[in-house]
This record gives sequence, C-alpha cells and structure tokens, in this order.
Amino acid sequence: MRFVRNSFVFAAALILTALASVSARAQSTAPPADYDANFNYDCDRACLNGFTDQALAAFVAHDPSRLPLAREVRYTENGQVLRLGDGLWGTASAVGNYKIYADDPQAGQVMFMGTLQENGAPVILNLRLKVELKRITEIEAVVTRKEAGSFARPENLVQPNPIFAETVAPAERRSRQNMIAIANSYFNAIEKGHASYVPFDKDCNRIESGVQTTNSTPTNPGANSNSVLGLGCADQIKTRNFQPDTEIRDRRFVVVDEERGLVFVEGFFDHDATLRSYKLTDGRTVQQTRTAPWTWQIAELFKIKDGKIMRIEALVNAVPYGMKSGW
Amino acid sequence: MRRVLFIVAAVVVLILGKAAIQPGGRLAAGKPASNNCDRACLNGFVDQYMAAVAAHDPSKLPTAASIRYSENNVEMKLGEGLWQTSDGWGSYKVFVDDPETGQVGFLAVANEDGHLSCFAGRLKVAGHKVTEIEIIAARPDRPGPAGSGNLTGGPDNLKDKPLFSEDEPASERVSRDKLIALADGYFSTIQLNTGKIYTTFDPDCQRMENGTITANNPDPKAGAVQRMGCQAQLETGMLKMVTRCRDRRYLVDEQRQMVFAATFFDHNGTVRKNTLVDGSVRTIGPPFDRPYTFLIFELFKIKNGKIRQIEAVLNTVPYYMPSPWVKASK
Repeated sequence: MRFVRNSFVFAAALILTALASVSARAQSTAPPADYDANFNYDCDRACLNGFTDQALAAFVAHDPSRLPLAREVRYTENGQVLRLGDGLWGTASAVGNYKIYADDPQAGQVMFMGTLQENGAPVILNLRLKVELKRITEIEAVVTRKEAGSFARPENLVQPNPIFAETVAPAERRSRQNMIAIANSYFNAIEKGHASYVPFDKDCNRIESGVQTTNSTPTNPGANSNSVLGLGCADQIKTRNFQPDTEIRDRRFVVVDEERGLVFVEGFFDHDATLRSYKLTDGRTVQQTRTAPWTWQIAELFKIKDGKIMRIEALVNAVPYGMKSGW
Repeated sequence: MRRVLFIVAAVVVLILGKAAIQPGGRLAAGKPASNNCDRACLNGFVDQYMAAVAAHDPSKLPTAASIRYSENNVEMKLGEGLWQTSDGWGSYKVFVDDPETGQVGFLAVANEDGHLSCFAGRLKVAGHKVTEIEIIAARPDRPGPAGSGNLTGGPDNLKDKPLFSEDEPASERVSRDKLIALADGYFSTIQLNTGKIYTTFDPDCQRMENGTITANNPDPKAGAVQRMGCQAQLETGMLKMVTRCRDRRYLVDEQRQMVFAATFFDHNGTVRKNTLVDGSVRTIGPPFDRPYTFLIFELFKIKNGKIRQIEAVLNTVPYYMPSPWVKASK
C-alpha cells in the first residue's frame, strides 16, 4: 500500500513538474496582466531569439496577432511607420536559412540579419525588436530588395560567418561604451577619410547587402570596377575613397551584445553629390558617376574581439536623399 | 476571416479615399494666401526659383522667414539637395497657375552634370514672398523596383504641348470644384481599379508619365496597353494593384482648365491575381508583388469638362512614406 501511495505521489509530482514546465513556457510568451512576484520578467538571449523567431514566423503567416505584443507597438518598415499587418506582413512568404542574431538583454533588444522570401523573391531583412516585460514594444524592419539603385545580392547569403555566433572570452571583451566607441570610430573614419584611429583587425572583412566589399576580387558578383574593393577595411579608408560620403547621420547604437562582441548600428549615409571628381591618396582621380544627391539607409553589425573590429556585416538600402529613420 | 478582413480593409480604403476630396483637398495646408500675385507674378516666381537653383543661391529668391522646402518628399533646408547639384534647366516648362490660393505648379527638366531629370514643382507665394517649395526630381539613377522600368521614357521625350498654354473659352469652362472632382475621380478610378469610371475622359485623352506615353500612345511599336486610350485602359480593371491613391492635394488653373495634383500611389503587394472586367485572370508579378509607393505630381488638362491630357512626374519612395505637407498623413 505504501508502495502504491509512493507511486501515486511520484506520478503526481511528475504531472506537477510537467504542468510547471508548460506554465513556464507559457509564461515566457504570456506575461500576466497584473504584477506577479513569481513571474520571470527577464528576457535573456534565448528568450530574445525566441521572440525573433516568433516574429519571423508571424511575418510569413501574415499574422502579427499571434505575437505577444504590448498594448502600444510601433512598427516601421524602411523608415516608415506602418500599421502592423501592412507592408512586409502581407508579402513575406518564407524564412531563409541565413540568420545572424545579436542580443542585448540589458536593453531588451535583439537584432536579426538574414534572408527571407517575399512572394517567392529573395530579399535581405534586418529586424530589430524591443521587448519589455516579455511583450514586444518596437519592431523595426529594413528590407532590401534586388531593384534599380540597389546592389543587393541576397542569393550570396548562404551561410553566415560563424564568428558572429562565437562567444568572446571574458578577457577579450570590452565594455558596452567602449564597443560603441569602436563602432563609432569606423563611421568617423569614413567621414574624415582617415583610418588611423579605427582598431581594425588585420583580417577584417565587410559584407554589404550580400556583397563582399573588402578584399574582394573584381569577379565578385555585384562588385564594380572600383579597384579599392580589393583592399582591406583599413586600407580602403586610407585611400580616401569615401570622400563622397558627406555625412553618416542619425547613428543609433541599438544593440550591444557584450558576450559575443557585437554592436549593431542603424543610420544613414548621405551623399550631397557636390563632389564630381576626387583624388585618392595614391594619386588616382576618380570621376563620380552619381551626380544627384543620394542616401543609403544602413543597418550595420560589428564583430569586436579584443578591442578590434574583426568583421562587418551590413544591409544597405537606397532611400530618398535626407530621409529620416522613423525613430 | 481573412477574406472578410480584406473586404473591410478595402471598404475602409475606399472611404478614406473619398474622404480625401473633402474640403482639405486643396494643395497646401492652411488658409488661402491673400495675394495680389496674378499669373505673370506667379510664373515670375518660378523663373526666379529656377535661376536661384541654377546659381546655387537661395538668397536670389524672395522667401518668407518661414519658408519650407521638400525634395522628393523629404523636408530639408533651403540650399540643400538640388540647390547644390544643379547645372541649370532644360527648355521644357509648363505652368499651372492658381492665383486664388497663391500657388503655381510647374513641370521642367532639371540638369545635374548633364544627367537630366523629369521635374515637377509647386511654389506657394504670400505677401510677394515664397513660403513653400515642393519638388520632385525623377532622376535617372533613382531607386525603383525591378520591373518598373517602363516608366523611364525620360526627359528627352518632353516637348512643348500647345494644349498646356491655351486658355479655354469662358463658355467651355467648368467650375473649380468640378475640375478638382474630375482629377479626384481619376484617382478614385485607379484606386483598387474595378473598371468603374469616376471621371470623364475626352476620347483623345493621352497620358505621359516621366516622359513615356502610357495611354493613347500613337506609336505602333508601343505596348498594347500603352496604345489603349485613358478610359479603355481603366475600364479593364487592370490597375487593381494600386491599393490606395493617398493624400490627394490639388491646385487649380481655372483660366486654362488645368489641375495640378499631388498624391501617392501605394501598392501593398498583396494583390497577386486580378480578374479583369472581361473575366480574364491576370497574375500580378514584379514590381507589384512587393510593397512600394509612387510619389506623384500629376497635371490634368481639361477641355469641355473632360480630361484631355495627363502628364505626371513620379518617383519611387519607401512604401507608405508620409508627406511632409499633409498633417496626420497616416
């Protein structure tokens, strides 16, 4: 009888454990309306990535209502405030395999860079979510497509460089503000045309909208005849090839992933097109082919290890000159 | 459920579209300017504006302290954008003068280092000073969805049309409100195009967009759709993928019976199949299978109360981009 009783208790415990587990899972996506001292309000890396995956699935299902949303949610797509359900919510057709995440539990923000199908056509998506009290309060999407004025090559994005998912050893980490300062130095260097203060790793490489734009061979798809594409991150800037970039504006350092050494920045590269030709430091003269003002909206991820920029992965989107971010 | 939601959404869109023609349907917010600036005066301001742009010098234009400037739907400081890059203008120029509201719409060809753009602008004048400048420059290197290249006929095709500088006899004019209703009805016809016509077309109506004749094109080598007349084209219901003609604003030249309209064509990318009025089914492909928006200035010449000529300058902008000139654009 005692055995039976013990078995009963054991079975009940199992059921309770299972229920608790279900409850915990439910809690991660359905916070209580009123304050609950027993509820885990924190959202760690796995939690933030879970929100991202849910959001991607909701885009493809054309159904934002399946997400744990805060009462007030702000959604922008390519800098425009849209109603949830409009824009990409109506056209996303499948999530791709190329996925990079950066997580900032302290700020409650997560960044996703990856591929997506839109009515069957490949596009590159950058997604930022803000999660507060385990509900989504902000969704910011930047989508770049293969179109006139764009050099995007989503088909090139097959497998992300594993470096983005690697944890940086504690001794090689830098503080949040230090990491932001490093990323910021990159933009300052492009504006000013000198790279001496940017801590690039010697093997630094950059991918923009699926195109490798450093240490690239002329045959690289999407690359043009601009010979500086064959140079590395630092050498390219030192040539003063970026003189047409008149201002890198409205920089927002929205996600800092200290554990993985990632900083994610959104902003705009303005080109006022007043420079019709310019000289590189090697004496060559470059004739500017673009004669009208233009702006790139950028979403740029930096991998920083031991205080050095190892890799840059960016999404670049053509928008009207001087356009604002919506944030 | 989704279907019901879609129908509800479509009805809402239609209602919103109708709402746009209500009293706010005059170009530029605020009261009509109290002006003594007639047609010659307004055109003179356009000439001064163009000269000032070519000189890269806004100070050559008499402007109010509160002057606002937008270029391709982005508000910026006077002196930025085209002000810095202009290398003058082509000879093409069309004016639409509205002395009643102190506004003038105009078409031109902008030159930036030999790269020509179809150009449309609007000035507002009060107290003999320019208070608002709104321009669209459809530049050759402008971004745009793949497949939208059929709207790139270009500025070389822009030739003077005597029609645009003809006064209409008083007996053949229609009222200001009727002129606005004709232009607005054109947009209502296009929005979620069902084949029902909400305006009146002259049988010879022709439409040009960024230098391409896109309706009533006399060239036998032009596409079948481009050779169709304005009304015949829209009676097919083929433009259903234009999900909204948003934020419509108008200025009116009663003497010449012209309307100069500002609007956006939103394509939300979800209309993938379209059953035309004749029962045939069309699959909607690029560029309409993704969200995008056209920013548009569109000129209508009306004769005897019928739309005779349409000429538009348009640029692609991010989907659903609001206008800096429309309050609560959402």
